[in-house]
Amino acid sequence: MNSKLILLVEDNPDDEALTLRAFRKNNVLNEVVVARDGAEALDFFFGTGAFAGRDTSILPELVLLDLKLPKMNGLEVLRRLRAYPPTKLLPVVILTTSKEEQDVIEGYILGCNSYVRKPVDFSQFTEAMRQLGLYWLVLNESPPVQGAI
Amino acid sequence: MRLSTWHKVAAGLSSASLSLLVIGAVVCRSATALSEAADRLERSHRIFEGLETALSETNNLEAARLGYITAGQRRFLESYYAAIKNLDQQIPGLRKLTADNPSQQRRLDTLAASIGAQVALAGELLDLHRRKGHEAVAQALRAAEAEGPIGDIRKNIEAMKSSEHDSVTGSQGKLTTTAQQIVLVTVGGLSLVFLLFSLSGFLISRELIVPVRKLLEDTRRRGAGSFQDSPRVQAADQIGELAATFNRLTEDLQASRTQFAVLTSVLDTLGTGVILADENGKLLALNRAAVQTFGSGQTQTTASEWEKRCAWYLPDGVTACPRNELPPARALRGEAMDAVETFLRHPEAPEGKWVSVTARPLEHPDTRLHGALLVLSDIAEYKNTAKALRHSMHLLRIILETLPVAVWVTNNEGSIIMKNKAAEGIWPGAEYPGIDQFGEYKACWRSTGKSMDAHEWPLAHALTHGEALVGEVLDIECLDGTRKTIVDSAVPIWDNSRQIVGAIVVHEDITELRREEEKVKRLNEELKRRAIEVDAVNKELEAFSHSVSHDLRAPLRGIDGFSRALLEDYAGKLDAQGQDYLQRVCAASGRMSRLIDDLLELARVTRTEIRRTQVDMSALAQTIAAELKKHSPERQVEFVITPGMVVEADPQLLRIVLENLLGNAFKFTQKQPRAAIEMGLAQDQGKTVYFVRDNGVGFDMTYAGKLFGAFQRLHAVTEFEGTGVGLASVQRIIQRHGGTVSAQGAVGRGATFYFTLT
Repeated sequence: MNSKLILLVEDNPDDEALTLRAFRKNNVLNEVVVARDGAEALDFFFGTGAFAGRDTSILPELVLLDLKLPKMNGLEVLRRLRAYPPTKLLPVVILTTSKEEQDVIEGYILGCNSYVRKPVDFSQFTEAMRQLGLYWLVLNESPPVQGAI
Repeated sequence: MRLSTWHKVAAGLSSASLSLLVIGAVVCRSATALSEAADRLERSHRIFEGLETALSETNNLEAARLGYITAGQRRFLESYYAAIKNLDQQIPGLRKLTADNPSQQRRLDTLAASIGAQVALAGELLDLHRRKGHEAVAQALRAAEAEGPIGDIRKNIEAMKSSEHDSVTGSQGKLTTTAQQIVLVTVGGLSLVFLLFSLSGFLISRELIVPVRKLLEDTRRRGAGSFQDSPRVQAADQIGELAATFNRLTEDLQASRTQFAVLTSVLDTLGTGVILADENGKLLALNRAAVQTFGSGQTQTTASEWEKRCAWYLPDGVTACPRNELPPARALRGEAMDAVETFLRHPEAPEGKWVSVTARPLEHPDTRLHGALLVLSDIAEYKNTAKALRHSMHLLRIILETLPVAVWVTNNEGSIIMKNKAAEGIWPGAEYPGIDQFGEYKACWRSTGKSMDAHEWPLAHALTHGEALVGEVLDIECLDGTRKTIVDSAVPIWDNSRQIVGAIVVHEDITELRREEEKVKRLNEELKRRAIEVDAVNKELEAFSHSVSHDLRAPLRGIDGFSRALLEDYAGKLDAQGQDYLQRVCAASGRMSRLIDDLLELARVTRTEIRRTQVDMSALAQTIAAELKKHSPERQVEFVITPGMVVEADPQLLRIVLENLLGNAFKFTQKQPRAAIEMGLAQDQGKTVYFVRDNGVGFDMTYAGKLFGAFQRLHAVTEFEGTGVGLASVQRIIQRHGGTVSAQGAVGRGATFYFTLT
């Protein structure tokens, strides 16, 4: 189960801490890699920047993608991931504060697998994280890894 | 060679006449002969008389002699002497009578000699008697008698008588023969004459009278107008010629009749009435149309009855036409009238009729015809048309005068023949005498500012090229120097033969309009600028909303999240108050989150485009009511929703409205043990008003004005939670649907919210 990596793309350290706490509280013990902006998220996949030298063949089981990010916003990151063959089918869940209809539509058009709004209420937030972990890491059957093999 | 009838008849008649002449001559000659024979008979008769007298005297002589001899008296002797004297006296007469008969003359000579001897003897005897007496004388007488003188006389006379008798017998035979001849000649001749006359008569009858009679009959028949079953008259010679001439005349007459009939039928088919009157005004002919115009009673009238039967009026239709001015009267006077409008009224057309009368005096040198010819046209239609035309002209005039644009109608030379009042307004004093003068009117093209030549005027174009120029915008300088901007249009007017007969020019003064337009243009530009600004503001607002929803929420989550983390992870290190504070922090962040959501909602209903469809509002309300009840199953709430409220609205926004109104009603009735919420509709001044009524806490009408303002609340949060944005959203949505929203209520007595939709 530890082999299943989670990539959390989140610039807000509070949200990062709360997310990680929620996972921990809910016994989601997978390794969570945090990218703090859009560019960094791409670096993770291309093995560049902060992630230079990383084995890019190892892909995360799930990407939790915030939309409002410095440098490159989440939708742009998603677009690039979907254009890049190894990550074309990668499960990407948009996890954001925005409830803007336009963002939801755009996200689905670009190929996100799910769109989850971060509840302000912490207990609700924790519950949401618990369900996400359960669903995407346990119930869901991931697509076979391509390209990197 | 064939002899003509005339020759035959002439020959016959001549023969008859000649025969008559011959008969006359013969009869005449025979008559002469008869007359001569009669003369002879007459003479013979007288001769017989003379001879008879002589015989008688002879007898007397004999008696006297015998008496004397016997009686011897002198008286006998004297009778003797007297007898012989008488006898002698007969001789000259007889001589005369028998002058043409020598044999009788000879016998007469002998007789005369005998008588003469006796006369001498008688004288001697008388003398002897006187001297010797009776005896001597008687002796002498006897002596003398012995010689037989008296017997000779008697014999001579008898011989003469016999001779004369023979002569008479011959004359009588001749007379008989002559008479027989006469009878024969007369009878034969007359028979011949009769025969000749009969022949001539027969010829005349056959060749002359029969054809003439037939001609006469035919003539009568033709006269009576019959041309059927009449065989040609056949005859020879002059009668034949006459017949031929007659036949030719008949054919001519028939042709004339045919022509006349054709003419009559042509006249009858004419819609125009034609009347022919003689010099006395008596109608000679009138065709069907004329009868229709004048009425059938008019056919046999005379001049004096024209105005009795029919009333004539002058063209005004009211004034009676004076007698001597009546068209027939004028035409008979030798005056001509051309198409004079006249109004007629007669018993068969009591409502009267309009006719156009053309009258001509009739003078025909060939026919010696004098009279009048009248031609009448029914002009009712023309009058109606004229009336309609006048009406149309009147309408046109009104339309022209009402039009706010200047209209000119020109002839093909550009001279004005009609213009309206507005035309005078745009071009005061303009006369447009012709294309040549168009240069006097100054104008330039608005689009280019180039001044316009005379031939460039749309009117000039229309007249010279037949082109319609429409909507040319020109800056003009009027004759008085005023400057105007006009829209000039000109279209040519074509006649049926595609000739340009004029043009219609329309000028619209757009000076004011242009000024207004420029003002509007400026305003528009201003508006555009503002719109761009508003657009920018909207975009900013959108970005702001985005930020709010994203950036404001994130710290809230942090506040709430870490507060709870504190509560969970460090509960043992905090006392009750500390934990209460943290609970308040969480509650506050929760409220703020809802506020942000409501604010975003309000912004959204303001911005989103409305997409109207038909919405079953009753069903929608039922759904929402069901959701509300599901969330609070412990509450006793009765929803009464009028079914069938179908409206044209944006379903998303309408849902927000109902969620807010029904939700409010639900919320504010929470303290009612039996909450009643009603939704329905009512009519108010022709408009459908929908309402949501509850029996909840109600509100103070004093603050009714604040109900729909954003963040305005009439109740404490602790009493009824809420952000005060819901009704603001409702109002915004209803307004965006073109409707209004209002509320009525009283504290503790429920509230009713009304709204309309358009």
